[in-house]
Amino acid sequence: MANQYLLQFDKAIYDTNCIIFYRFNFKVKLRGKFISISHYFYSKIDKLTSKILNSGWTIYTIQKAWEEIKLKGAAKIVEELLKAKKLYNHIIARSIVRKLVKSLDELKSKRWFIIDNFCPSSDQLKQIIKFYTELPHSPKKERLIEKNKKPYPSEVDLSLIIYSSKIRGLLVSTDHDICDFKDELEKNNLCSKILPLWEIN
Amino acid sequence: MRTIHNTLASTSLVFGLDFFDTGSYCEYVTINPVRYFKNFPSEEREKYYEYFTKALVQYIMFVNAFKISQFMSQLNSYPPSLNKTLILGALEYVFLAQRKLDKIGKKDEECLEIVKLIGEYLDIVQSKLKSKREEFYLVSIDDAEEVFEKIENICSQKGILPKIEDENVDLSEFINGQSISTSI
Repeated sequence: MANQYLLQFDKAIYDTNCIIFYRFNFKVKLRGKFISISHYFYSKIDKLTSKILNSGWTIYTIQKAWEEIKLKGAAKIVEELLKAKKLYNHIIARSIVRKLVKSLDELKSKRWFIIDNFCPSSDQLKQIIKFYTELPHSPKKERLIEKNKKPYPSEVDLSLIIYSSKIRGLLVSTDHDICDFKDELEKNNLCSKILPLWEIN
Repeated sequence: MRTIHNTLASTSLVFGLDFFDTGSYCEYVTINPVRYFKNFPSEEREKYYEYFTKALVQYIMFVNAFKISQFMSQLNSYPPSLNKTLILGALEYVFLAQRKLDKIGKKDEECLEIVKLIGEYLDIVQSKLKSKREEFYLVSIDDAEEVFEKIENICSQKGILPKIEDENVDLSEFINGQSISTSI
């Protein structure tokens, strides 16, 4: 799936979750043996990242997304994953979160990873909010409203969509608020191409 | 709690001291126990110093345990954030450290040093929890982390608990009767 984009683009934009999944791969010692703790999307994002870096791409995100990752996103995903794996304990969660934050700080220093201080204009935001609000009712839209308590995604998600259009990069995401409306967003030229991470083989 | 209170009160009475406010009294003795006991008869001084110290450790541990459980239940209802995870982990750690102290029979003075530091950590956490629930993720907890690091260092040096971040640390040391799956 990623191969078809390799010739079309030279930049990717990772959403908050993709960045976290890419750095979420640790070994911890439990009852005398080392076990790996990684997110189930880790192998997909790792594979994609290797491929695009080998092709000389640069990976971008925006400052707002980066702040959300550090202050909330990383902790949320650690909590969800440890609970799903029946490994949750406050001290284990603290240990993994600290490792994850350290690993994210290392990522920040890579020359192929850029955090852009991008802020969309209010007109750009209004335009995309109007698009989402006017989408016809469907189970996908109901899910969007239920999650966000409003008919459009968070400001970070909206900014990422607008940013993809600005730099003409491939927007890689696992967020249903973005991926569920991929075709409509692309058709209305509100974004660049969107690649749902689960489509990577 | 009543026993601790009575211990402190009756010991005070032996020496004709007033004992009205357990909190400020403990604070005073905790801050400067040597100065406090210097006027006691020398043959009794050590005995009563130990007696006081033991009672004080128990008292501070009790207050700490109460705060830990209160803060944990408050934080559990907060939305996920880095601050929440770091503080909940630290609270669980200090809870375990106090339980271990009770079991492994460290000298009272060593215990006092640790429980006082835990008390200091909890006071900082209490001040952070005054922020709005939805804005808690924005509060700086650097000062709390600094004190927690001191607690971890002392616990690790004295063999009470290893540091959470230690290379090769077995995380099951921190599991308090929970069922944790190791088959992933």
